[in-house]
Parts: sequence; structure tokens; C-alpha cells
Amino acid sequence: MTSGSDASGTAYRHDDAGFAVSLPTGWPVDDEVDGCALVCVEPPPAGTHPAYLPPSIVVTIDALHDDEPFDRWLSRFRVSLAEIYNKLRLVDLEDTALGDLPAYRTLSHYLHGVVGGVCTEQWCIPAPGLVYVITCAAGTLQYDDFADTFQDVAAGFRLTTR
Amino acid sequence: MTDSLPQLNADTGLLSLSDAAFGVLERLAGRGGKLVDAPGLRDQVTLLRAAAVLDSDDTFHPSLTSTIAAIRNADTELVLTETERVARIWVAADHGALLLPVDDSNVSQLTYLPAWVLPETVSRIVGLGPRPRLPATEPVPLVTLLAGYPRCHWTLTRFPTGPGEPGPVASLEVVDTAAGLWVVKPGDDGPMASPSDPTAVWRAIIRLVRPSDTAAQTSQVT
Repeated sequence: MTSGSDASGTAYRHDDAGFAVSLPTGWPVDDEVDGCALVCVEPPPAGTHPAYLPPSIVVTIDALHDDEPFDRWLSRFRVSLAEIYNKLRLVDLEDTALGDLPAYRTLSHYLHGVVGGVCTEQWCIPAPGLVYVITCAAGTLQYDDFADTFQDVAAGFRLTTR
Repeated sequence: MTDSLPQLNADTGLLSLSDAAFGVLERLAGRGGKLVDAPGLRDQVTLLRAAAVLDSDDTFHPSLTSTIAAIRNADTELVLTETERVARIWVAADHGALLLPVDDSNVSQLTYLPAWVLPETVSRIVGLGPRPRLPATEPVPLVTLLAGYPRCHWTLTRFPTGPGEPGPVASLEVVDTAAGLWVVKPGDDGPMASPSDPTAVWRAIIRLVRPSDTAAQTSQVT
């Protein structure tokens, strides 16, 4: 793994997982979390409420088994959100692009038992035999403060040679 | 016409009541429980007492403590206007209260809500969710959109409730059509609508409803 900072954030390259991404400067990165290629969480500001949910960025990689078409995987993924999250509300679905990569964005909201409302913004990026998922989350009332940061993170995503 | 008896769920604090009864409750909440003389006030107080909303000392039922505190201490009030429905929301720090009319009646439901649930609540009321993306286009007159029978046209307006702060601080007006969402702004020749999307509208709702200590930058919400 390599990293370097510039004005737009910290470039982070995960050679084993085959991607690079630009992360907010000063947000620690953990690439040894089970099931995740990358976990990046803003250090909570001093004096924050115990129930404050620090904004986070997580990259996961899902294999497309048995030649499952991506469209079917994406449908399953979006349906599964309602099974995983409490009182999920889909806010927005968008077919977009990150550079020259097609990406499928989902903005949703759910209720967490401890921290309250959570906004989750996800980009699913298909690659041969794989799907990369960037999941960004923030407390409901903080989401607007971080939405542009999350968009910048997604915009900086690139596939690299594994 | 005789007002119906308010109904209080003492477990949840959910209160169903007429507009007239709520008017009295709001005055009591705003005045810290002191009664004032006004036509019909005594009749409504009698109804509120009969429903156990007030006790004999005109103290609110304990299940309403958070709701009344949100109304009494609100530094922001929001009014949601649709074609056929108006909801009122009070926000005081992390606490909120919602007054939502019940369809086809003169009864509304008053409930406590934590502030973080308010954006989702507003979105649920107006049916915000995934929509097609509109192509970029120049603003069009609002009257043109309304002539096309949109599925919904709503406005969320934020009012300061502190003394000496006149007028609405900000508002968000949305036209929801089969083709996508439009946001309305004043124009030289009347209101003009520009293409928007659910994410932009969601973010604007958050900026309007969140507590004032984090909303100082809310002067333009779209």
C-alpha cells in the first residue's frame, strides 16, 4: 500500500486489491479489517457526543460467482440493504461514472439503535469478475457537511493492476 | 360544532386533537402553563383535562414532556405545505415535535421526534425517493410545470421563533413530476423551476431542519 497527500486529499493505492482512491487528509486508514479492503474514519472532534457517528469510508470487494451478471448482483445488493438496515429509506439511485468507470450510486437512510439516523452513500463499480463497493456513512444531520467529501472520494477511485 | 375529545396514548405520547385544542395547547406550552383569557379557551382546557392531557393543575401529562419542551424551547419552526396538507415542526436543539393532520378530518396528530429523524420524516410525508434525472435545461416558469399535473408540489419553510427575528429564513419549494424533481426559485417574471434530483433535495431538507447551531450557513438552501 502506498499513499501521498495533495490539495485534494491523500492518494491511497491498494495494490493487492487492485484499486486506488483519494481519501480525506488526516483520516486514518485501516486495511486489515476483516471483510474490508479499506476502512477510513474521521477522528472524532474533541467533545463530541458519545452517540456521534464519525463519518466513514469503507471499500469492500464482492466476487461475481458463477458468471452472475452485474445487473442481477446490483438488484440483489439493493434489495439486501432493506434486510440489513433498520427502517431503510432509499433516497436516490443514480447510474453514473467515475472517470471512465461505470458506477451505480445508492443514497439511503436508516435508523441505528445507538447513534440514530444514518445516511449511507454507496457506489458499486463493476470490474471483471468483481464488484468494488465504496460505502460512505455519516449521521443524518452531518451528511450534508460530508456529501461533497464523499463525492470527491468516489470521483478519485481508479482500478490498478493487481 | 362540538370539538372531539383529544386522545392521548400515554405510552407513546402520541396525541390526537383538533386544531382548536392544539391552539390552546400551544399557548399553554408557550406561556409555561399559565392560562390566559380567550374565547373558547376554557372549553378546550376542559377537553384537554378530560383527556388527561392536562391535570387539575394544568400540568401536561408526563408522556408529553419532551413534545412540549420541543415546542416551548424551539428556536426554529418549519411549515410543510402541500396541495392538501400542512405539517408543522418545531426544533429545539436535538429535539423536535411534529403536528401532522389526519387525512379527511379536522384532527391532527402531535408527536415527539428526535431531530435526526426529521429529514426522513419530511421525506416520507412528501414521498421523496429515487426519480429519473432531468436533462439540464434553462429554468422554466412554475406555472408551466403545474399545468402538467405534477404528482406533488410542496414547500418547506423555516421560520425563526426567537423574538425580533422577522420572516422566513429560508425555504425549499419542490415540484415532483413523473420526469423528475424541480426546485423553484423566485424569478423576475414569477417563480421559476430548475431541474434537481433527490440527493440535492435531501441535502436541502437536512440544512433546513437541523438544529440552529449547525445551520448558521443556511441562507440559501438550493
